[in-house]
Parts: sequence; structure tokens; C-alpha cells
Amino acid sequence: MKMKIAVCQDSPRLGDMAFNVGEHSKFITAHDDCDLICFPELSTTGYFIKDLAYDLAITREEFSAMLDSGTNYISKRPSVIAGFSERAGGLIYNSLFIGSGDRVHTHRKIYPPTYGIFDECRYFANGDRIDPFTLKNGVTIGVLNCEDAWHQALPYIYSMYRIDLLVICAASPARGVYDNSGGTPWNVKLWHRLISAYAHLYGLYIVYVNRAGVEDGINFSGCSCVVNPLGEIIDTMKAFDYDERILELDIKRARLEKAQNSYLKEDDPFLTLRELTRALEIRRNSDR
Amino acid sequence: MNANKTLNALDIDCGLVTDLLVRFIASQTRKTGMKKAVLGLSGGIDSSLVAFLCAAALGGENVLGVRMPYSSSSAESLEHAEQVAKSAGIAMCTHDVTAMCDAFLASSIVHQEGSGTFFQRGAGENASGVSMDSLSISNSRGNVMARSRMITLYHLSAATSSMVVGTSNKTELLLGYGTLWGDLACGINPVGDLYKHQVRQLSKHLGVPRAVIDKKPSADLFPGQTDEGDLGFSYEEIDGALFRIIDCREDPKDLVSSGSFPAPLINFCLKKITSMQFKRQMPLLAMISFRTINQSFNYPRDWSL
Repeated sequence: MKMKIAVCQDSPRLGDMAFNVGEHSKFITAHDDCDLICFPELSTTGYFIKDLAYDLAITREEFSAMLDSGTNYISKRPSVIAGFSERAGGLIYNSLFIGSGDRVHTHRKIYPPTYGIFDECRYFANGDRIDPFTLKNGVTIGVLNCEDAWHQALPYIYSMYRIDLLVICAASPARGVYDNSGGTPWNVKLWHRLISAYAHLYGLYIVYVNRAGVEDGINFSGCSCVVNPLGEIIDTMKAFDYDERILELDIKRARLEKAQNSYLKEDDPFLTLRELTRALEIRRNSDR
Repeated sequence: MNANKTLNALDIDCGLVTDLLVRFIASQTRKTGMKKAVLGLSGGIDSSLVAFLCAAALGGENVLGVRMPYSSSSAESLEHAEQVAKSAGIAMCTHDVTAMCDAFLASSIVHQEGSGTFFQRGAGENASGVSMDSLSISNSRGNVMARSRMITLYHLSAATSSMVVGTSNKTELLLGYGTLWGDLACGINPVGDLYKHQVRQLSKHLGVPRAVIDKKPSADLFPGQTDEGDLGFSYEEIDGALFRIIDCREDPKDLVSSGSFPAPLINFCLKKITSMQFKRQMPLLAMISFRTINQSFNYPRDWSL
């Protein structure tokens, strides 16, 4: 079973949602023969939006209608993953939208980072659910929003659902330029290493779609990539600049790798659950 | 890690850093609707490096380097600035700031001797003047020169719709070795996260003229002045200490007790880092509302750019 994916390593205009949705619509329309179109984190708002998180927040139904008005994507082939500021239940989330036909889903960023240059918890509430989503082509995927990917329990939990594809949307600024960088920012190498390991351990494809461009002086690193279920990076996009890619994933391959992947087959999540609970009790009792 | 190894640890990937800084300049200039940049060209290494970076980002024909000598400035500085403009392929002009500085310094607002207090309360013939001791007067003269240059650059910026590009490096910014609203004033600064050591490394990589790289850094406010004479330590020493304190977040006490750095150097750096914090921030606003600018009213600078 083949699946055609379009990846857009975009550079949105900060705070100009009408413009960014327009750009998304053009890309979706141009690639409406694909099964899935992926945009980066907060792709319709820009990343360092601060108080704009509140000003630009809309519900996922409103977001779907906004995308559909320029594309009619609902009645067409592609499912769409894009980033926006979501208003839900009175709170604001840094969310990834998944629209597939008339079904909509959002992954609300579970771990909005608040350290160094990041200040997301000041503006966004924490999401608290990890739900797989089955696209209209029948492929079950998971999505993670940038910092989420650095919490190893989240891909592990997705692996319980035997997903075939994990999409990680990101807005990762380039950092680490010392002599040993070899032309690539250090944190890009850490990203690629991390997701290669996940793909291999859980027998799935990973699409890492990071953004490009400069916001408030910060360079985003681009270098989006696709990793196969053996943990091999099969395609890497440009550093820093806008880039796009159309590729075909062989989902059967992921299913084969999963079937013969002993790490996954022999893993005992009940042991994990039991021992995790016991470890937490010990930690609580030892008062450390 | 001893002091020499620390300096090696500061070495950057020059190709990658050039790429990041060029994109920074191009993007942050063009987003505002500008295509051009203007910067002060002192003949020193920092502004020379920025000239090369701006030329790479915007094209040499869109970059104006301005030489702004005072009567006491060295002829060598002017020659070096010209060499840099030529080798970077940027436009250059010269505006002597002696007249504007001297006119101000000769005005009745500046008095030559005294204790640094207001003359008297209330309005009166002398009430607008202040008195100063001779050291403050010497520092003040440097500040007047730096601020006259700032006026010149911002005038040219408005006249030609050009971005004012700053040239203060990380070492200077951490030590507060610059004039507030003078040479520190700029729209964007591509070298503010580079230590002097890294400025030198990148300057070699980009082909800044050797004479500029090799000469002793100087603010050139009076004949014979050098940065290292002013600061009391070499840039190698200071960069090593700042890197370990700021970037590695090592305990300053450990840096001294391990014998890696002498106590006077570490104490000097700590004192400057903390006492000069005000030069690295916007002015403080007194908060009375629930929506105070930059406290609880927070929008990005690139808002809809």
C-alpha cells in the first residue's frame, strides 16, 4: 500500500493568518493528488506569536472551514496537517490540526517548552491526550508537536496503537555552531538522531517537518526529513530556506518491519506500567 | 579545561555562522521594507566584519559605510576603513563629527570643573548647567563623539531608508564597553552573539584586510588608546572567562580555585556583567495597569512583517 505525501517546509508571515492560510491553500490545491499534506508547527500563525496566540485563536471547526473555503480539501483526496492557535473549552492550545474529509482532529501540544528562548506556557495550555488518527486512506498515524518528540513516552504510547506513520511538526531554531558542527547546526543532528532511533525502535515512518525563515532575529533550521522503518533518513530538505517535497511511502514496508521487529513484539507495556508505578511510589516515599 | 583549551572551545564553524548571520541581516532588513544598510566604519575589526556580512546579505551596492572621524582620530583608522570599503565592495562616505562635537562641548551646558552636582535649584541664569570632574569630562567627550555618530547614522538611515546595523560584539556587550544610545544604538546587530575571538576567526574567514585583523583594537577616542589598555586585560583572557561564566555556566569560584583563571580577571568580568546590565535592556516602565508594555503586553517585534 503506497501513500503519497507532500511536505511543505514553509516560512509563515508572523501574525498574518490570512496571508498564511492563503499560502497553505495554494500548496494544498497544487498537490491535491496527494494523500497527506504536512505543514510545520504553528504554520498558519508564525512561531513567536506571544499575545497573538489569544488574538488569532479559533476552533478547529473554524480552522477547517477556513482551509476548505480556499481549497475544497474536504471533498478532495488529501488529508491536511497544519499548525494553528486553537481555542477549545475556554483555553488556548498550540495545536496541530488534522483534517481528513469531514473529520477533524487536533493534537494539542502536551509539552509547550518554557525555557531558554521558549516561553510557550505563558500563552498556551497543556494538551493531555495522545490519540492516533486514521486517515481516509485507512492509514493510522500519530502526530507530535515539536517539543513533544523529546518526551520519549509519547512515541512509545503511539506505538501501542501500531501506527504506521508518525508526523512530527516543528519550529526548531538553529543552535550550536561550534567548530565540530560540520556545516550543520548541532541541534539538527540531535533531532535527526532522535527520530531515526524512534523509527527503528517502533517500526514506522517518520515525517519531520520543520519550518524555515527568520523571526525576531531567530533562524529556524529547516532540515526536515523522512525516516524509514529501518531508521534510515531517506530524504533531507534544505537548511534554513523554504523547501518542499513529494514522496511516496510504502506503508506495507512499515507493517513488515513492525511484524519482524522484536523490540516491539516482545515489549511488555504492562511491565512498564507496573514498574513505572512502583518507581514513582519509591521516589515519592524517598522524598527526593 | 585551561585557558588555551577554552579559546579552542570558542572556535566556530565559520561557513555555518556566516550563513546564519547573512540570513539574519537580509531577512530582518527586507521584512521592514528596506533594501539597504548603513553602518559606521571605524577601520576596526568589528565594523569591518559587519561590512563584509552586510555586503554578502544585501549586495555591496546597498551598503553604505560611514567614516566619522573626530579631529583626534588617527589617520590610520581612516585608511583602514577605506581599505575595508574597497575590499568589501560597499559604498563609503565621510562625515567629520568634530564640528558637531566641539559645538556641543563648547556650549554653556558643559562646565569644566566641579563635583558633578546640579548648580542650583529652580530657574536661573546658571540653572541649566552641571559641573563635572575631569575624568567624567573625558568619558563624556567619548560619549558625545559616539552619540554624534549615532545622530549621523540615524539621519542617513531616515534619508535613504536604510537599516542601521550595529557592530558591538558579545564581549563588549557583556562588559558594557560601549555608549548607551551611541555606538550601542542600532536596528539590528549581527555580531552581538560573537565573542571577540569569534569575530577575529570569522573576519579571517571572510577576507577582512589583514592589517585590520592584526592591529590592537581601539575605540580611537584619544591618541594611543587601546581597548585592552582601557579594560586592563587581554581579549583572549576576557573571552575565555566570559565563555566559561556565561556559556558554560560554571561557578566563578571554581574557575578561580581550580587555577584556571586569576581572581582579578573573574571579579572584573562579574562586576561588569552585573553593573552594565542596564545597557543591554530597554528602559524600565512604571507599571500601573494590567496591560503594561513589554510586561503583560507582549508582541513580537516582527508583528505582521
